[in-house]
Amino acid sequence: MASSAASFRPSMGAAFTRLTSNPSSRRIRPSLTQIASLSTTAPLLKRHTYPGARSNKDMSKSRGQSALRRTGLRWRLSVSDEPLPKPKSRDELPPVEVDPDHGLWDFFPNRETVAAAPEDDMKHGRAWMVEELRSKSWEDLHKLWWVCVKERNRIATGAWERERGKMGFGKSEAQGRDREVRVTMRGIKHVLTERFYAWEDAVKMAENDPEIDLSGKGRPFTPKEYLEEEGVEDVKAEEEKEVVDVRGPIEGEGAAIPSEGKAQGEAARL
Amino acid sequence: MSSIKTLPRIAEPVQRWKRFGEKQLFLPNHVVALLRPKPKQSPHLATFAVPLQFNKLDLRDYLHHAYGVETTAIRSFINQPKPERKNKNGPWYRPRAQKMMIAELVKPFVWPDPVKEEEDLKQWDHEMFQKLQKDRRAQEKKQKNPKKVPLRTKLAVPDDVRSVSEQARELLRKAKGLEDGEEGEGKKETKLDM
Repeated sequence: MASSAASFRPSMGAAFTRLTSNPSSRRIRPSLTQIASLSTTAPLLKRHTYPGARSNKDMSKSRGQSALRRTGLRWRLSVSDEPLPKPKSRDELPPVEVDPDHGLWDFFPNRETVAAAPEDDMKHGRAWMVEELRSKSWEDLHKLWWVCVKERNRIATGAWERERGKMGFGKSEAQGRDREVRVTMRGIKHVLTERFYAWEDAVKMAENDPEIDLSGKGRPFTPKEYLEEEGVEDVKAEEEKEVVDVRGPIEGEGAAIPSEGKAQGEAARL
Repeated sequence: MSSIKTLPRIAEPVQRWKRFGEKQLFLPNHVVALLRPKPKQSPHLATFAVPLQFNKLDLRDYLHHAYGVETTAIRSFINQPKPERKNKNGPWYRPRAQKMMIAELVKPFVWPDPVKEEEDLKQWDHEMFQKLQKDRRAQEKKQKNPKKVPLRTKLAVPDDVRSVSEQARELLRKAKGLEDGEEGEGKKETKLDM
């Protein structure tokens, strides 16, 4: 019988050899706090011990580290002894202070209940009529449009809150209010379309009018009949002003957003 | 020094946007609704229901110009509803999707608490609303399983039937010459008795 190790299977022989080797050759390191938990990976067998055998060392430097298993790092770091900050619960934090002028308040019909009560939703007048809007300037119409847009957002926010929170009835009241706002918006578009058609017609007529020069150079309007008469300047000034009035609303270059102060005044009318 | 360490450090949100859109829109016709956040949602997040054609840049510019609300980032998603059918055997169709956007705010915003008091909810006629909802649900359940007929004992006695039976009982009592609240002899209350 050869050596006892050789009689086992090769793998068992390797294990047996390791167990019977001199224990004094293994040096036990002074105990440190364990950072990584023990790896459950099977130890690599060193079967190939003959000269020229391939290297058997573990090439993976981070073997046994796993974020999923929360093993931690294998190495001690300079910050390992620092205590980790503990998360605070929501109740311990100071209450969040909300700015009373926060822009998002504009989405609420009512600051306490968010959704407007049906009674409050019913408190509205009629929509602006086209006849009333015709006399308004582009700036006024533009501001009124934005008042309407914000009012519709307010109604929509209230409706979401009422339906999600299962607060109760009020859909038809909100829809009635929304309808009036939409009629106003339709009126604004109607008036602007009318003005655009008027301007188009004016341009068409001016093309055939010998007194008007559309080239953009020199005087746009030269009345021929009154050149010799007195007070020519006044008439000219008046005519020019009219042309500008017709074109003004369509090419309005005012700020895209109306100022709040005036917009609120318009809202009162709504 | 130690007090500084123990204070919760919250990073100040910084506005990332450097510039806004250049195309001027004079008469936009969109409806944007602000929605109540989920219970544990941060006060720095605001949820909006927006039109489907809106994109993140649109909402950022909209909030900045129309409401003066500054944002650091915007997330968006679409709620796609399940297919429905018109009637029981009608054609299938897909209801319109709803686009949602969550804006990260520079200034925090906390919603007022939801209305829970019965007294406050009276404005919306909450009691009647709930009753109708309950009835509607029961009706739907009945229509779903038409073959499943509930026991008569499980049914609620309608108000008019109850009223008629009370009046009849009153008449009988008077005919027998009994006082109010006195029951005739041999009278037994059963569950089916109305």
